[in-house]
Order: sequence, then structure tokens, then C-alpha cells
Amino acid sequence: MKTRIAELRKQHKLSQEELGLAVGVTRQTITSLEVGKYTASLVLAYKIAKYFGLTIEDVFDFSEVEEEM
Amino acid sequence: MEKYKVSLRNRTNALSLVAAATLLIYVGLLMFRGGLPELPSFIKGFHIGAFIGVEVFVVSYLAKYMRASKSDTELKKLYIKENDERSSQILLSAGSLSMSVILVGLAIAAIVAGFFNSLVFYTLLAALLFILVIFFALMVYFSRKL
Repeated sequence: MKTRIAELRKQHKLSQEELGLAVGVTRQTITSLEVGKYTASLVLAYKIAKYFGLTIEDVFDFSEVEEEM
Repeated sequence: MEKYKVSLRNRTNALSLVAAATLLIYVGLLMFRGGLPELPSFIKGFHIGAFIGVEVFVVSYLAKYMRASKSDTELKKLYIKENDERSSQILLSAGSLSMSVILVGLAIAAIVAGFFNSLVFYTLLAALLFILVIFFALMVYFSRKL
């Protein structure tokens, strides 16, 4: 799944490690989310969106999911 | 994080007990070796390796837990490492695939062994049945729990 995590992280001048610590996951998980290899759980998606003060839909691109429906 | 601190303390106590018990069992076995059947040197070596392996494993975890409990940052890092959702997903995927490979491998090995040695056949069959019983018991448990 495509996300805006890398872009938002750079805007906030955060490292992957720092974002991971803030939302309770490892740096590797943030990397996988950014490259679209791993899809976040609902709880993690909520935490990341909340951390950036956005909604889940603002951070995660659900267009592929909508195509499947 | 307080709950996790308590959990780490309990784990440290349990691991210390395991380390002490393993050492006692090994020393006991060394002292009373005369009363045991004579074993091939490979099996003796395997036993020694297993005991040393358990001790090294336990001591490394004890050191990790003690280091983490001294600093809040280290504690949070360890908590995240243990509870990371991607790592859990990796374990789950690896576990389910290895279960399939083990079951098929054991079944094939049991069939092949049946042509040559009945003791090996029954041993492999028992291992296969044991794994299947545990697997279905856990499946029932988790389908009720989740």
C-alpha cells in the first residue's frame, strides 16, 4: 500500500527511528511501510495519522483497496 | 511501561531459576554418571552442548533484561522490539509455513522409513501425531479466543 509517511516524516524532520519510537514500532517497520512492502494494522495506521495530526485516509492511499471492491 | 517492568522482573527471576536448575542438573549428572548407562561420545557431547547452550541463552537474556531495566529509553526500545507488529507478522508467516513443511517432511520420512526400519517409522509417526494433536488443540483454542 502506498503511503505519505516518508514525505510527512521529512516535512517534520524526523528519522525513521524517531517516528518508530513515537508510534511503537521498529525502524524496519517504518522502512517497510514507506516502501509499501508492509500494510499497517488499523491501530498503527491510527497512531501514525494521529501523530501527524491527520486522518488515516490522508496518510494511507486506499485507491488499490477500492479497486478490489 | 510499569506493567512491562514487572513482566521483565518476573522473567528475570524465572530465567535465574532456569539457569540454576540447569546447572544443578548438569552437575548432578556429572557426579552420578557412573549410575547411568554408557553413552556414545557423540550423545555425551550433544548433552554437554545442550546444557552449555541453555546457560548461554539464559545468561544473554538476563543481561539484556538487566540492561533494559536500568534505562527508560532502553526499556521502551526493548518493548517496541518485542511488540513490533511487523515482527509478529513475520513470525506468524514463518511459523505457519514451517509447520506445513515439517508435517509434509515428517510424513514423507515416516513412509520412507517404514520400508527399512519399523522403530524409526513408529518414532516418526509418533512425532507426526504429536505435532498434529498440538496443532489442532491450539487451533481450537485460538478459534474460541479470537
